[in-house]
Amino acid sequence: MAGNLAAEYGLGEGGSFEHICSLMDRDKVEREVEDVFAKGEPQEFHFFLARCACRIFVATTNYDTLIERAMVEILTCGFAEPVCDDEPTRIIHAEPRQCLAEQLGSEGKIKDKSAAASGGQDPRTLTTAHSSCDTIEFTQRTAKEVALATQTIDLAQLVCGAPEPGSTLTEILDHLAVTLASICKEMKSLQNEPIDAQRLALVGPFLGRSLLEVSFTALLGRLDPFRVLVIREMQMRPDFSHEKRNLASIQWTGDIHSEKKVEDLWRQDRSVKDMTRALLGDYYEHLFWRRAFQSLVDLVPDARGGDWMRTLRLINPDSFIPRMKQQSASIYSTCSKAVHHEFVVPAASYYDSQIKEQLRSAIELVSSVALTANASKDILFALPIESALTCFERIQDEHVIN
Amino acid sequence: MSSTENIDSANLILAAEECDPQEFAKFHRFSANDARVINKLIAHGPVLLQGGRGCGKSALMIAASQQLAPFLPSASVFGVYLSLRHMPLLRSFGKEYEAIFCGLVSQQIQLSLRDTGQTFESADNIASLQYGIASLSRNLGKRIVLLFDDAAHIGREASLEEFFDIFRTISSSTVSCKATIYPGVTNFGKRFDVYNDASVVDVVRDEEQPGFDALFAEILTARFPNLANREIAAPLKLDRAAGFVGQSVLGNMRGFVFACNELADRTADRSIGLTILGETLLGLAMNYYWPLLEEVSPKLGKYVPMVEPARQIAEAVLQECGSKTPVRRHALIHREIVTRLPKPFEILEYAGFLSKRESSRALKSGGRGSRFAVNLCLLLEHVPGTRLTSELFDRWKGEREEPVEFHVRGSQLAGIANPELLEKSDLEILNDSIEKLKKSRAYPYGLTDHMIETLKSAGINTVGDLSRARDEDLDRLDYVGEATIRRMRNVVGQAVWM
Repeated sequence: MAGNLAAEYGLGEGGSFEHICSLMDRDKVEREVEDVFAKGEPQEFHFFLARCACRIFVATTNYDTLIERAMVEILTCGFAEPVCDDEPTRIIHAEPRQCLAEQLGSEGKIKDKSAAASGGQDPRTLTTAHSSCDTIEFTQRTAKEVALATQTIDLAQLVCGAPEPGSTLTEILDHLAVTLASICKEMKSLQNEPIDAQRLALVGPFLGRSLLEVSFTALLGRLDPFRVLVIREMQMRPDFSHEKRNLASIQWTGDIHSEKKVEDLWRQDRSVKDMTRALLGDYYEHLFWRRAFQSLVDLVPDARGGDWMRTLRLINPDSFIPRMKQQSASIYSTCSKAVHHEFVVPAASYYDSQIKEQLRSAIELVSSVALTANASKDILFALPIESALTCFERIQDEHVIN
Repeated sequence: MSSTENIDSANLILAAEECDPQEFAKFHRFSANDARVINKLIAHGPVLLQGGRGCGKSALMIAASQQLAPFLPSASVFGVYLSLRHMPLLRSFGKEYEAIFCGLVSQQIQLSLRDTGQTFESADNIASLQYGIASLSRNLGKRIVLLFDDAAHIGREASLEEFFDIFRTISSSTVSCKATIYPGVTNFGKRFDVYNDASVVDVVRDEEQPGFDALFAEILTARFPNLANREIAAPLKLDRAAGFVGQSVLGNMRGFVFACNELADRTADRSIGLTILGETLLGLAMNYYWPLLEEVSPKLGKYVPMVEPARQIAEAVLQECGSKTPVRRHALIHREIVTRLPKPFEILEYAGFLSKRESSRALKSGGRGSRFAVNLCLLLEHVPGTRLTSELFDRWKGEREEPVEFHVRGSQLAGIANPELLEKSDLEILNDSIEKLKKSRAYPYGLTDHMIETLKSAGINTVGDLSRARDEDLDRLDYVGEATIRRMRNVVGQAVWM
């Protein structure tokens, strides 16, 4: 049934829709489709597909992210055409359309009606595509799902920037973006759904630590591609072993935080190999973050950025990284105690409901650091400040409500 | 009886720590951002809550403690709020400080445990305190949050070193320490690294925050219900009027309470309009803010000479901002000036003349500086005509205009000298006569003539004498009971700490 409906509603002879089903729980999808059609409202199929689009992006990690983008595009343009001719044309930009053509070949049935509306390249293409879902609210649940998808994408985009297609680094960042979106989705469900203390203590710290690790790895990759390219290369080698510790993998102490404070940064007898390249270490603090932070406070218009930006404005550029270091170390350490199961007393008494506050703090911290990074011209794939700020504000709005 | 007393004198609570815990929720309101801060005060990890005088730090701490056991018995965290307004702490160092501090914490924990069936042994050193709190956490099966208020004093930074050593030592995975500090506290001691040993959380109270007007309208309604019911002349509405008063006092809660009190005095038989608001602002400037610089002086110890440069800075900034067309309400001051005169700026923030809104902003004339919002009560005095017109009201309630810039060269601030400190000087306030604490505009719930006579007859002649007097000794005096002692303690607290 699903295949026929997909054909009827413009997605081709089951091809694309089958693809959706392969990425999701097929039985569940079919049940939902049947349910939608039992109501006899063709337009609800339209909404259902929008929900699928959101879910696919945030829920899957096991397939190529370009396909993922393509699917979002198929859905957002494809489903609209036959049922809602009077709907405004959805904007589809050049980049994902190319990806779509490359990745799907003849399988994809790309609707071309939006071509005329395309405004050219926009680094926020993904979000733009999702923004079209914002107008689709026919039940409370759908609205929440759409908001969830938007928020998770915003954070992923703020952290991973707007990588240009075709590079190896882009592949890495796309993967990290999808991972990050999945982490955010899980965090969100912890915040929104009733959850028992035991599960919260088990899952919450893991997500908090994962958020920090993935986000800082992505930022490090944008600042120092060598570091992540080396790891990718090693992981692709036939002799890469999952069973042994990989000495080249990203280390929290060493790659994110430096091992020790450097007293005299510019001592003439220090060789480059003795200079820490930790993301929040003294050298990047001096060479990158201070200027980035200064650019940020100069670039962000006075009324923008909400309370998080107001708090950032109170910080002296010299204190920005020391503060972020302290906060990230505190959250990481708190979360790690449960990840490593250090406790011999019930963890739930230690990880009381305040673990949610740690997760909120982690999101604020990562968003603030990533926004600052995007204000610099010295980092790869920086979002235009306006786009970065929009992401930052949306994450915050969603975040504060909960 | 003044009209103020007729209205809501029972609600004239200037400091959150003086509010009856059971009544606290009735008189206090919090913004969405405040709620975020309260969450951080409850969460794991050491936190330094940073904000200017009267911005609501204590209220946030008490609100946090009221979300924890024993106030909320079902909570999984046990909270102990402790105000460190204790004279011996202010005058002691080293081991003596440690012993007094540990004794105070022990007493407060014992007090908090009184209905729980648990006991806590008094500690007189940090090791036994640390052990005791860890044991208590295990016995209760709860994490413990210690909320230390008023640890810092603007006139005495030396004792902070001991405090932060203790703060650092007793912090652990099951004991989360939180303390209030104000901008300008820099002496954390040799062993305490502010960016390694604690998270600094800023209390932001800015008229540009969404919900600012509504928050102040709620506070006005809760604290001054009669005032809230007064007629308000169009086009003003309660939230805009309350928000404007809140903005005028730079979001300072204590300043707002004084302002509402002043407004209540002036509107006994009149509606609230721009004329009254303007008169209220000018009244506050003359009767509250400028005298406050005098009030602060005896609390400053060795920093007393810094009051004069603070006054000079204030006058220069107000004159420059008020003389511009249109009037400017923000000053952007080159960082070299701010760095050269840190204590005068701290005093001005402490007294509510200025409020830092940005640490680093580019000056058009080159370089970078800090942006300060200027107190509108004081600024109105410097506006041509000294009248709050509807145009001025709309402008001040509207979008922020460019700040006045004070460059390191050529501005009136450039020539202000940094005087020598008075090393080894004591807090003058302690030697002042208790007459100083008489009920007045500065001390609206100060001592009555009768109380002063009673104290003098018992040989308590100075603020210092009263601060050192034990409760049991005061209780023996005629007509002095628990309520009067609390009032005496509060007014001494206001005189020395606020």
